[in-house]
Amino acid sequence: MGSTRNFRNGSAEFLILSLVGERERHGYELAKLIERRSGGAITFHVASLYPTLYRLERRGLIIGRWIERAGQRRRRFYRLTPDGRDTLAAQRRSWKAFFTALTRVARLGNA
Amino acid sequence: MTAHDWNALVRERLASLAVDPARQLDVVDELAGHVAEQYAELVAAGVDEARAVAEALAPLDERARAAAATAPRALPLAGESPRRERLAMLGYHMRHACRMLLRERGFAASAVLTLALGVGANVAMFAVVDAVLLRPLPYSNANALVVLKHRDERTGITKEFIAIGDYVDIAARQQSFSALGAYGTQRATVFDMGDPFEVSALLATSGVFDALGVEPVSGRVLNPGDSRPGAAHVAVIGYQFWQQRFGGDRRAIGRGIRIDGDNCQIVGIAPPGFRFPPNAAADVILPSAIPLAAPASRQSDWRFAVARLKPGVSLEAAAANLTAISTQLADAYPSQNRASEYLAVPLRDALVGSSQTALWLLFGAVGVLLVVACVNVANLMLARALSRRREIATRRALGASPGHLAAQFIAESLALALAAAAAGILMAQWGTRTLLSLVPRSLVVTGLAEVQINRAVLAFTVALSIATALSFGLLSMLTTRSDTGSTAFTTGRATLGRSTRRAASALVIGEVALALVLLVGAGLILRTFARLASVDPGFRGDHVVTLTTQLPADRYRDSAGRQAFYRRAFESLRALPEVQAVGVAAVIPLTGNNWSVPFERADQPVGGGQRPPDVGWQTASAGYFAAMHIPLLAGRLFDDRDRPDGPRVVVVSRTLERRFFAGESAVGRRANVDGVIAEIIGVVGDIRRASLANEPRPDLYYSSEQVPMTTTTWFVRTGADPARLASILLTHLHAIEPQILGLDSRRMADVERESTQVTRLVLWLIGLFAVTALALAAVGVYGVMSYVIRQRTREIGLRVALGATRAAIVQLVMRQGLAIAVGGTVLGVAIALAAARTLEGLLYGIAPRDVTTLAVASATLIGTTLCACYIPARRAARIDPARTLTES
Repeated sequence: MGSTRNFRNGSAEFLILSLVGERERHGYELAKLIERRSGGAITFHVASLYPTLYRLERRGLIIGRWIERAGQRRRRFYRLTPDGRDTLAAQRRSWKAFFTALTRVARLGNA
Repeated sequence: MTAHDWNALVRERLASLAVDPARQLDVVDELAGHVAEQYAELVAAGVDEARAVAEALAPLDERARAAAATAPRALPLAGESPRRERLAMLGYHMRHACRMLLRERGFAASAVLTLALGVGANVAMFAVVDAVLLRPLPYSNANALVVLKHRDERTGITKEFIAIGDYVDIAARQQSFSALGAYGTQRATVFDMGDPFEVSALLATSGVFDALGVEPVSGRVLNPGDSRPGAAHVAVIGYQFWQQRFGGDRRAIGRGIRIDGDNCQIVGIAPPGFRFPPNAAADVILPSAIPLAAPASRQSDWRFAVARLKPGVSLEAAAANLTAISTQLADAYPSQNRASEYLAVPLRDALVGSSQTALWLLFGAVGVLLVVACVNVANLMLARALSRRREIATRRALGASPGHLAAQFIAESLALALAAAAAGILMAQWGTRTLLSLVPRSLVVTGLAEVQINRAVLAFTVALSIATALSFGLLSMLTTRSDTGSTAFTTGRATLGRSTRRAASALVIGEVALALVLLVGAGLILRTFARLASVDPGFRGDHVVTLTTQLPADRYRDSAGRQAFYRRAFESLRALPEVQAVGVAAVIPLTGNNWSVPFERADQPVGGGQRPPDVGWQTASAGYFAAMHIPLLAGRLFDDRDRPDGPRVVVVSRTLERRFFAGESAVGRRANVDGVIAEIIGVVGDIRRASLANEPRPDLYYSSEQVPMTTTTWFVRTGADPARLASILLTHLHAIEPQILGLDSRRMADVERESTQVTRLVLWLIGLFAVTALALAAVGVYGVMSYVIRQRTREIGLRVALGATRAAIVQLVMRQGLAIAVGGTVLGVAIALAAARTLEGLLYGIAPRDVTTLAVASATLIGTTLCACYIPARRAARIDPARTLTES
């Protein structure tokens, strides 16, 4: 099992919440953004991204709506719900604490 | 750029995901949008078209290879009517299930085979149970039919026939029956229709027809007047007899027919298919003579009796009525009726007799076998759930509701069960044929000839299969439900959760327990069989041939004629070089006969006008004892001194001597046998008369010279080929009396073997079921231990890395297997002890809770279970610690 995958497993929901927290986004955009911002280190494809999105939606953290534009396929855009916003804030705090701890212990900052 | 129907391409790949129909359109649309954008980007980046399509769709293909393998039909679309949608979903689930099973052939084959084994055995047994016990007898409202039996309260001996005097009084006094009739069966000879030929005759009173509700095809059935003393001879003929001998001509009515020397007028034709008793053809039906009033000698003649309960009268009420009449008769005729009681037994029970216990037992055994098979398949499905967890998790994540997943589980189970039902019916067809070929010819069980795979059996099979599918489908679903959540999806590791593992172990413990129950049953029957095989019957049947013959009754009405015939016959047969000893007797031992007669010492009458106790009786010539090697212990056998008109003499068995003459010799003593004073001239060894399982009872032998009969059995001891001997004997008898009929010939050794045939058959079947259950349990244990080891691979690797020896690892695994084996055994022993009573009627010489049998069965089971554990244990011991540790 590669480290990328482990990382992704633990953080997939956090990443999606963060990106959707910036503004309303659709699935393909999310996949592309994650790939691009991570420099290709993290990739999502269709069969792993959407189950996560639906799960988050079922838990009431995000909400999706169809938006149709002329000449384009309709797309489903997701945004955070108030619950999602709270969860994202909490996750941010704990990830931050975790990274701080990692930095101190493994001296990541000095590398 | 080619236009692609991305929705169709995605839907095709998601066919197996069973997404909630309400969300399907949305999910498919959204995924298709994603794939389309990916594709567009790839093409824009210069990837060639075909590769771009493949790459964009690849993630879906990877997850849902299943659906891609075959071209699936379109998903039912949302928006259709709920009912049609549900049907469409059902069809969809079934199609999907079939595809899954076709793809996983190994799994499907083992599951179908295991279930087919269980279903097949059940269907075969059900076919027999249905034909023998469940299907209505061929009489209108047959549940209201009873037969009367006589029970001697002191000896407990029950007889199916009742004394003529009692019959007449019961008929006059009873209030529970709407009809009561007396009957008997015999072979009769028809003369003056070409060569004389033999027919089955039913001797009946009109009450038999009333009770059975039989209407004639033409003419009339018998009426009460036909049975009166001195009535004209009449006959009703059977339908088949009418067709064969009269070509179905209605003018047969009114014609004469000579039966056994009586000229009878044909008065009616019985309806097609009429048989009574149900296992005897009634070629001709003759009136059974009944005196107008009970004769002074009440027990001078015997009849079977059949009756129909009045509407609203219960069996218990009829029994109470009969008991009351029995008491009245005992008070009125103490010397003849004391301690005798009449019982009403449902006709079906009387016909099926002791086979009923064996049948229900075997039916129970196949039921247990099916449960074991179900548990095994549930286990197989659990194992399969391991490899399907990601698929299931994906489906749930994509919105498949628990209901849909359950439907999918049930659909797969149902597909398996229906396939198993089809295979099971084929197996049952073969099974019933084999089963019936194993049933001895001499075992007359009503309905056995009619065993077939009919609509009732098919309905039973389908119901059974659906019940089976639901039970193992639900079993496997419940055990996996707890961990089909998102953890499997995110960890991606194929493992069983703790609760699943525990459920699987519990299933296997149950399976082991049930296998033990069958093993114990088989063990008890095996030991019964061994005991029976070692019983000394008291005679030596090897090299003895029996030949049953009938003299034409009309020509041998007086005993002098019969005597002359037998003397000449003995002389002629004794002269044959093949014959070492020859004798005659009325009854062949071990064929269930238990004729009895009241017996008391002439010097010690029972007194008080009471009825003396019954002893068994038989008529025999001196040669019978010689041919059968029944030893003479004291006194002498019959000889020329015992004239037909001289004083009555009897030979008694050792048990009779012991019982009645405690410590003294019986020889020379006088006894009152059924009202006739007889001298005891000899004492012979005991034999097992009715069956090997019946302890020797007091028996006495009349001289065949003094009490000759027209139907007798010849017992010939020979050194020659027994098969050829019967025809030689018959040829010689024909030379003396051309009209003598040879009824049957059997080797005594065959009679002995057939007397244990039911036990042997039950033994074979229950043994087969037990071995199958044992094998299934072993497979179940093997399966569960294999998961457990896969589950504990890392832990075991760690132990090895920390210095555990291979032996220690094997021990570790075996300990767990032992826990299952011991748990199953304890549970199984408890069930076996609780169920022991059901076997009681089938056992001989062994207690149903026999400790040795329980111990041996338990040891066998634990041994087999441990063997099944050893293979996974060895595999565990070979785990490479380096690999398992780095993999994690």
